[in-house]
Amino acid sequence: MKKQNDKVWIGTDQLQNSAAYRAATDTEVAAEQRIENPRLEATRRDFLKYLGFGMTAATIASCDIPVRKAIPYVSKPDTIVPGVATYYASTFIQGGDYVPVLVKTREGRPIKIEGNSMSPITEGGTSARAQASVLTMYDTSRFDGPARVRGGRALRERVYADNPSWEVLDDEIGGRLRNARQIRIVSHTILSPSLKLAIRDFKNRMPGNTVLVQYDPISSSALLDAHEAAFGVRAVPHYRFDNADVIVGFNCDFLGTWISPVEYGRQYIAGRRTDGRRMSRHVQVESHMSLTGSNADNRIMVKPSQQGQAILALYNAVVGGGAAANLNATAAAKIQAVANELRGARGAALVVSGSNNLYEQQLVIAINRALGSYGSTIETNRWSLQRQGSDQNMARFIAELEGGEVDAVIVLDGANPAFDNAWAGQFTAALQANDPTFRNGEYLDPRRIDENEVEDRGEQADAKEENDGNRDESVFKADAVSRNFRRVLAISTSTVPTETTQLCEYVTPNHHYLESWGDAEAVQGVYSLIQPTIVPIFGAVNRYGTRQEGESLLVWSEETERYDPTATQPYLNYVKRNWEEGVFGSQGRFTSFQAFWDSALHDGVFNNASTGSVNDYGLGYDATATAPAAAPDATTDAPQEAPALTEVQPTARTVDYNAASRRILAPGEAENEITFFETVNMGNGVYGNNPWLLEVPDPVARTTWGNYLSIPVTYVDGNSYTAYKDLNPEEYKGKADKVTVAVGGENQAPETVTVVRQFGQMPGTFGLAIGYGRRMTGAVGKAIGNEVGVNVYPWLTVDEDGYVQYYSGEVAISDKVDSEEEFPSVQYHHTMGLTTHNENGRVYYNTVTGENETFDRELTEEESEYLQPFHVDEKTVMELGEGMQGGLTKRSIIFQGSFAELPELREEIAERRVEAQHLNEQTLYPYEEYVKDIYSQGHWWAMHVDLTSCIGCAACEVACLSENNVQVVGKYEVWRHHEMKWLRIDRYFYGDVENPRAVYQPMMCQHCDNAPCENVCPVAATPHSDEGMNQMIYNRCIGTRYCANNCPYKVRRFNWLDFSTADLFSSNEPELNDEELPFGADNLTRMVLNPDVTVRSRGVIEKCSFCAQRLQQGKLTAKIEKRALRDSDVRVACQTACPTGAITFGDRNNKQGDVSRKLENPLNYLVLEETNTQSSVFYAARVHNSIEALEA
Amino acid sequence: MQVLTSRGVIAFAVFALVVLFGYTTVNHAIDLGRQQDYQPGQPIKFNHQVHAGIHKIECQYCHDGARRSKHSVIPAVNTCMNCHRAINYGSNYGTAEITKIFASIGWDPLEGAYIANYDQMTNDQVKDVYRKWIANKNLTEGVEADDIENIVEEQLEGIEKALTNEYTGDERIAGPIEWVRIHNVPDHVYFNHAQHVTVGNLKCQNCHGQVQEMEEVYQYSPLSMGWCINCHRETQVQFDDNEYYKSYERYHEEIKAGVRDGVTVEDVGGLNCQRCHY
Repeated sequence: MKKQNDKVWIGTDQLQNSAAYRAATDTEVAAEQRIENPRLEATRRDFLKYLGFGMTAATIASCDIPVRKAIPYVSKPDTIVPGVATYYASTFIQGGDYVPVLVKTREGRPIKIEGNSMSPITEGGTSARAQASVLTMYDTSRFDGPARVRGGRALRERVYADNPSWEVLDDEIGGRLRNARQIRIVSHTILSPSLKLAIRDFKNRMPGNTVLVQYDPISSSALLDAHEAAFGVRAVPHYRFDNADVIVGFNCDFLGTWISPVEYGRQYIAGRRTDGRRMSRHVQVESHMSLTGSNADNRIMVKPSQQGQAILALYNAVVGGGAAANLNATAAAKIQAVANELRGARGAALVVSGSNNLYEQQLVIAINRALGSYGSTIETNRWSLQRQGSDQNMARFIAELEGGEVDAVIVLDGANPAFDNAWAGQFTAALQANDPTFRNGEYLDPRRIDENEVEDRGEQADAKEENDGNRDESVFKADAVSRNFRRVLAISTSTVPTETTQLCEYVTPNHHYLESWGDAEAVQGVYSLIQPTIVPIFGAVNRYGTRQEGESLLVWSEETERYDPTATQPYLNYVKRNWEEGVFGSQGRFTSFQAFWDSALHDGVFNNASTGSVNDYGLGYDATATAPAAAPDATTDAPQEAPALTEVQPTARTVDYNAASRRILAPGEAENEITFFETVNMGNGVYGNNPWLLEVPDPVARTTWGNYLSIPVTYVDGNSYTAYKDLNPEEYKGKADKVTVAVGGENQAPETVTVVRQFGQMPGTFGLAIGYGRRMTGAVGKAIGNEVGVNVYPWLTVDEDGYVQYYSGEVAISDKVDSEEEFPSVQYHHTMGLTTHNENGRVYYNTVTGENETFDRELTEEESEYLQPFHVDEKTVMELGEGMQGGLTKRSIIFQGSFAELPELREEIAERRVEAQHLNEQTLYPYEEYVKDIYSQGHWWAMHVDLTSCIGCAACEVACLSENNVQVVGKYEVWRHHEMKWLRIDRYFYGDVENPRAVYQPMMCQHCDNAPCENVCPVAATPHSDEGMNQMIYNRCIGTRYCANNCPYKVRRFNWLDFSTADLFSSNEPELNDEELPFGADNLTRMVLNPDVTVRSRGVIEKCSFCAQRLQQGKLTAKIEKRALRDSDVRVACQTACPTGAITFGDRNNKQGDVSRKLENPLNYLVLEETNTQSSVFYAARVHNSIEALEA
Repeated sequence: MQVLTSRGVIAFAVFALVVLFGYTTVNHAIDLGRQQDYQPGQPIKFNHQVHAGIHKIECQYCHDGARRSKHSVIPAVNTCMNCHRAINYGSNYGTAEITKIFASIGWDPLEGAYIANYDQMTNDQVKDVYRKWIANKNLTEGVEADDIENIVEEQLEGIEKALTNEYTGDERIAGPIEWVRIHNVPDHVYFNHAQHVTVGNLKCQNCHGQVQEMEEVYQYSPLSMGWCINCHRETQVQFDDNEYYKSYERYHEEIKAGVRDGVTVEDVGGLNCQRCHY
């Protein structure tokens, strides 16, 4: 039986609350944190050496003050004022990921990404990936010029003269491409119309046949094909979650990772306002708890292989006429209830599925049509282009490659076909067979390749060519270099070394998007521009530099009609030309192109009323003509009356959905199934070299630096929580177990995977994140993401219709084979439920007698039954020793309730707050007086966090790192509780213990007006400001850490090591992943630092400053303009990053301000208000809107 | 003598010595890193007395960041060229110093034009350009023809020395001028010129001294935290004519009621640590 639990909890161990757990966690500082760092080895002699050196250094340093230089510009650009930030509108695109952004630059270097609020798609929201993208530009692994690859390595010499220049390689590549009969350009989804046009021009110029192969590692191929079958348009429908009253998601993580999460998250939260009469309902059907599932009002747990049956059951209930669904009774009843709910919300319902099965997607279309979703929750006049990949095309390309039909492959930046798809093994093998420097399973050392040895392979290849047909052989036999040309020319435009660049013959590195010109059309008619915010870095420092991939294609094809290679910025001209010929012609707002261009470039986005057409320019396989504009239709085979369509005349086709329903897969019989899911930080693996993203905890599992096998937790009668095979009994101690996972029978090698217990993981199912386990994320000695986690791509299968499947029914999980002693899960770090000691030992509350008892020893098992740890709680504040209320629940950390019972929730909060305030009045601290005398005038900063709006997407966490120069510490240090995050997102569960809901709580410094940390600092390094801010003064701090101990919210972070790599002794710098030079120690990486924020040195405490630098800047702007401060002047980093607007910041003395309005919400409470901290961060309670019939 | 050797006196003397020693040590320790009166030589003998004093050029004409940025900004060479296109012979040093700015940006005073592709030129080519100029100009200014060659070589050497830096590997004459920074505050201090100049209406001389009388600039103020704090305690903010301060309602009422004379920086939180340290 399951159990409703009215508490919130953070994990199994805490819920179980065993004596051992209490023993380990009832101290404020966890035991692991006190471990000496075994990696630091210093002998006594070393100590004396350091001492001697230190004394000498100090003496010398004090004698002479270093001469500092100030170097002004020779000719200062008009747009730059040193010390003042400049913002440029641009667009973050990475495959199908799309966020229009504003790039903050200082002295010509980008340092921070903000959302572009002029975009109708994201309205200023960002994602963790977009926030972290600025760091990838300063990746030390980046190629600084074109290179040949031999022996699996790009040949880059230290002596620059030895490297081939662009001209040399362009000649070589261009000549060979013109000789190729079959050229394939392999890419993820391309959002840029100009890049597509460049490929078109390339195709037109090339004598051979060029085909663009687009694929998506996390494929939506079936979704696209289903829509093509139904509407004649191969595109993603443009969903409007904000118009939906009932949302049903089938294994579809639309808030975290699916297609356009920033947009969907914003829309979703717009429909979930707790102050109105209506709040949307959301049911998620899945086996693994995704970010979306954790936010759902109700979750129905269905095995991955039964997803199809669940959709079928819903189809039968809503539309009717399909094959009988084969679903267990409980799930079937629940689906019936969902169907009732959906029918009740006709015209405001939306069903989405992340499935990559054609028939399942067809049924979803039929359901949405029947529910009248087209025209209301799915826009009928715009398609989204954010996924365009085709699994079948990729499979066809691989077959061609293996069959020797391809002469040249150009892999565009971002795509990593040797890693990120189901065919990676075949792709790798095919190109390795083609590589003369690869023998017997390994690469020859590129510096010791014996030319003669290699040559036989060259001759073989030549011989094969000769037999193949007639071509200009002179290219191949011209000189010693060309003798070694491979049969298949493979070129990568990747910016960093990857698994794919290793296999290619040339690397012609692309610019980072912050150095590029470009454009994007993510949704029809919504255009955005990409403009450079820095001069291409490597070209500017005397290297050959990078070049945009579109430009490379145009150069190789010798396109000169539409592209002028002699211009100063040729690709800019090319993009402009495309816009002049395309978008400009279709709009009516501007009459001159220059005005149009200037406006679009300034805004970064251009919304065209006319949507144009979904145009792939005939670049794919067999494409004969461009598809006409078309839109979905609700009329054809839907039995219900259609909602009125606006302007669009659809070309909907008739699809026999009942036939489709008969082709839904029968549910799997296997005992265990496993799903492979995408995480918000790692995506498909393309972000694998970004330390910011590697260290962001997965929002649901709260693990960092790797992927971990989620195992189910079941509740067995009474109070016993059992994880699968009793694995991971000591997660709270930072220990985990490893098991062997074998997927797909004997063909696939099993992998050893670390396990994590996961609530909401359906019994009999497992989950493992995709995108980890990359072998090569960067240059040797510099790569940060190598071998982090386990690669699951080889386990992906392709179904009989050619679609990649992200689950497997053939999985065998072994017993524990090993243990992970350094388990970097942050779940049990910095928790707020505290118990206490007195001078005689640990204090316990005796539940039998009601007395407090003190023990200085471990409790016996018998004793631990009736003794509970004594908690610091409100009653002890007043009457020490009298009664107690322990546990997390009685402390005001989380309030949650259902939408139907809002009044009760309000009452509960009000009651608790009255109680807390009553307690707080029993104090010597004259808070009211301070408010009257100090805070009541000028500014009084406050923040408001709406827990109903927070979806846990982690964008704010990364934004905070970026804004405040917060350092990453690496897996080992995370394990030691040393992560430096100023802003963490705590995740609590509540409700059904086997299938709980989650609530995400962004937790940062609460800026208490009666701050416990301030009183205990011996050197006044953390005083209070007149504006109600708790200030942290690094240069005063001597590192006693009293403040961190005394902080009830556990938000203060100590620089245990030289995380900023600013000190003298490198032995204090942590390595993230065996890199040669510690991350951050390189001048290139340091360019990302915000110059307005001090880089903290070792031995000082740091914490959230409410972005003091932004507040000071905002106040200064207001003062200079001689006006009152506006909310828009002081927007903090986490606030601007949030896609859903969950965080509001402002001056609460400004009664008209945003934050003052938010403070009127009756659902507000202060965390740990009963401790009289008088904090400044208000939280609004979590509200869900569950469906009664799905409870229990 | 007895008195002088008595234990009391000796004890007192020792005590006094310890106090004196301690006092000096602490004072010197506090002064570590401070550089009041710091007056380093600069690559160009720029004379503030001539520019700001005699010719009365407004400080912010050149230091144009002061009104809008945290940095007051040392002017870029193109700012110098606004005047020095026309003025190519200095009153103190003739061609010696002014030619340095020409050589930095690539202005050919004989042609009256910027040199194309100047950043591609070698040092010898650069020197050829200015060798001709210095010789011509000095001849027209009436320098003895016999001395010309020495003067030219001496000045060219000066130019090369001023515009290159063997330590940083900057071997080229062309390119920016490396001035020696006089006013330094530690990295953990945030100072914003705009706040003081535009909002606070402070004169530059307040902190930098009578620069218009300095031939060679030196650091006038100690730039110590005590000095900052003291000023924040004493200085009145521009309270009445700035709408921003409207939110300090109680102060306005008190001023109206005559209880309060004015509002100092301290009164609006100017002593809060996080105004300068974050």
